[in-house]
Amino acid sequence: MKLNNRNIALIIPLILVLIGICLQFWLGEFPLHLFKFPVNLIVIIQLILIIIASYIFLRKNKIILFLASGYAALSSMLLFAFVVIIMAIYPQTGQISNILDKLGFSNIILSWIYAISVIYLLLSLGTITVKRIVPFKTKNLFFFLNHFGLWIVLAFGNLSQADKVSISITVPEAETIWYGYDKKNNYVEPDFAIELTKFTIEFYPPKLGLIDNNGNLLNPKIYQPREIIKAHSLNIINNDVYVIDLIENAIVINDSIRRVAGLPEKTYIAVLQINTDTVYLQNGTEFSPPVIYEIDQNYKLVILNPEPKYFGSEIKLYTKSGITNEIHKIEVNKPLEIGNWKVYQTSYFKTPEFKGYVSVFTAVFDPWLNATYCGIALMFIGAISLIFKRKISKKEE
Amino acid sequence: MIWKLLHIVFILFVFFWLTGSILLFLKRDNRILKKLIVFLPLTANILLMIFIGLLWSELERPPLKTMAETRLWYSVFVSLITWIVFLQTKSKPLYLLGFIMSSVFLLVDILNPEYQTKNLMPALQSPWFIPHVVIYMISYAILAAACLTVLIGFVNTIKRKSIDKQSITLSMNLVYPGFALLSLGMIMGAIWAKIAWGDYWSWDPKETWALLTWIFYLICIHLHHSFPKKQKLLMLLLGLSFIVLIITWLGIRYFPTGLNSIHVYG
Ligand code: HEM
Repeated sequence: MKLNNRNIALIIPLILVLIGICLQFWLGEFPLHLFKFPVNLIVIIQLILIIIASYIFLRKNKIILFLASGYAALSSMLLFAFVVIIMAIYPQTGQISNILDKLGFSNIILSWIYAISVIYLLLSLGTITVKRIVPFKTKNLFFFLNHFGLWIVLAFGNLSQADKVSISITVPEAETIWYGYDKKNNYVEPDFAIELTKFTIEFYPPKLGLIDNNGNLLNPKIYQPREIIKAHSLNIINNDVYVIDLIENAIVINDSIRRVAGLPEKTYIAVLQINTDTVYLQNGTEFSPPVIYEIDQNYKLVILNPEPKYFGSEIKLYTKSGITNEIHKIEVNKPLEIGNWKVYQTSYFKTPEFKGYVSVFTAVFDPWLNATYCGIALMFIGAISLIFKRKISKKEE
Repeated sequence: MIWKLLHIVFILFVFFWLTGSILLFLKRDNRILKKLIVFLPLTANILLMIFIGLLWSELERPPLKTMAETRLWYSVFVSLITWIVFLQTKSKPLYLLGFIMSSVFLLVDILNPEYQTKNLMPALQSPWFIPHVVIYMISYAILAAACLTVLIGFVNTIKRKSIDKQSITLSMNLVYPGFALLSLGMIMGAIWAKIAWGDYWSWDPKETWALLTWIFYLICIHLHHSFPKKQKLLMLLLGLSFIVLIITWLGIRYFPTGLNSIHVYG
């Protein structure tokens, strides 16, 4: 086989995959933790220097010529595409139970193949970018935005993962918590504590649903759950159902309705007239079992647990600089910034032992975020310019 | 339920487009007929948009949540974009293919309705929700038009035994804006994810497949730019890229990796 550019472009990814596989066998997963600050910054600066220097001093070198060509561009994209294809079709469980898992397939982002493919991409993309911007011409500006933007995103997005800390903090109402657990379940103490003063939750109106004998909700094509609205008539499997009343915060005991103030979980009672009978339905909680109605021997009518419409926390913060009495709000889609951390409202739950809600936060420490965002901004402008790019068909022919 | 109106909208939609298509192939040089050919599909489209508007007001949230709802938007955009490209190129096959494609997606919605409630989970209540999904749907529609164009080019190539360069150029002219919108949709999704969950990229199966689609089109663009002579390869790749796109959009749930995706709708 001749060693022309085309064949080299095809062989390099193969060789790199082989190297990646060997390293994975000998060393296990890629040691991302070694790339914590300042190592990652040094690596990025080194990469930039190497690319610029080699472009200045080794411009005629065959390797550099290759890296700056369309061959290397497609070759590196091909390798990266291969890695993403594995990720797309092979379940990313992180467990190691067969030979493919040993090659890093079940946790591709921490595999050597992924790391190598990103480095190859950074080298070719970097060399090409430098080639096109020296000397600088305005017509190359959008090329620069697209390619340099992607370079920044790839470099900082990947290498910053070593520094990124993401912890889950679980705070019961009226308590103060100063620790959390990261994704590998390690105990972590950020430099602040959260007191949950109030947790607010709102629900969508509850729905009626049909379940079968195994307790499974029926396929929506057979029966679509319906919102329970007072004074509405429904037809459910040839039964006339009329909603007499919908009562919040009450439970059914011995066929009668008890209103209970301060129930720990949201309950609803629907008072229905089904054909000629009056029927009570109630959704189930940790504290009281559901009350259901048998339509026939196959189907049962139930109230589905209500879906949350809104939830958010009001908190007090304890930081190194002291306590303020200020109340902060954290809601879904509205995180709170605390020093170098951002705190997100992730979820909530209830336990039988505890009366209030337990709010779950995710606190993220991601010092390179702004660098990655700079790259994203460049790509954004680049993409907008690309909307208007055209090949002129007449000139070509 | 407004959703039931879709039957009528579908019949009118097909009627307008079909009449336009028949007139188109009759080849009469009549000014009124020519106008009808142009305006019938537009009327069909406006009807569909009105339907979406009604659905939006009934649901009290943008109808972008379920697969069936995104298919509606897709139909609108495919129909609109093939119509616009037709105005520029007068390509009859494209007119027909655009009509068939948008009608098929509406038909799927009629056979597979997903009546949905108003409920929008808190994470979806974000100003990014609408632009993220709408931009993706426009991009998918443009790339569908690009795929249809290349399909026509492929048939022409076989018929004429020489490569139909014009179709490839036309197709690439659609791939640039399509790919650009793909990038914008992806970036908006990333920013939104960061605000909602603290991660701009979490390698969720839908995200991975979206990235793969993006890479495939990236390869198309660069192949075309750096190796303009590789036209057969480019045609093949454009077709393949669209298959990856369709898998991303419709097929994720059938893959072993896709079962736990937060993006599996409905
Ligand atoms: C955000 C992603 C990217 C976008 C939007 C993009 C877009 C483009 C466009 C529009 C061109 C044509 C430039 C022109 O007409 O002047 C181009 C050329 C090129 N791109 Fe990219 N590209 C991207 C990523 C990459 C990557 C990852 C590589 C390499 C690994 C690469 C390598 C090249 C090369 C070698 C050329 C040809 C340059 C030349 O002929 O001087 N691009 N790119």
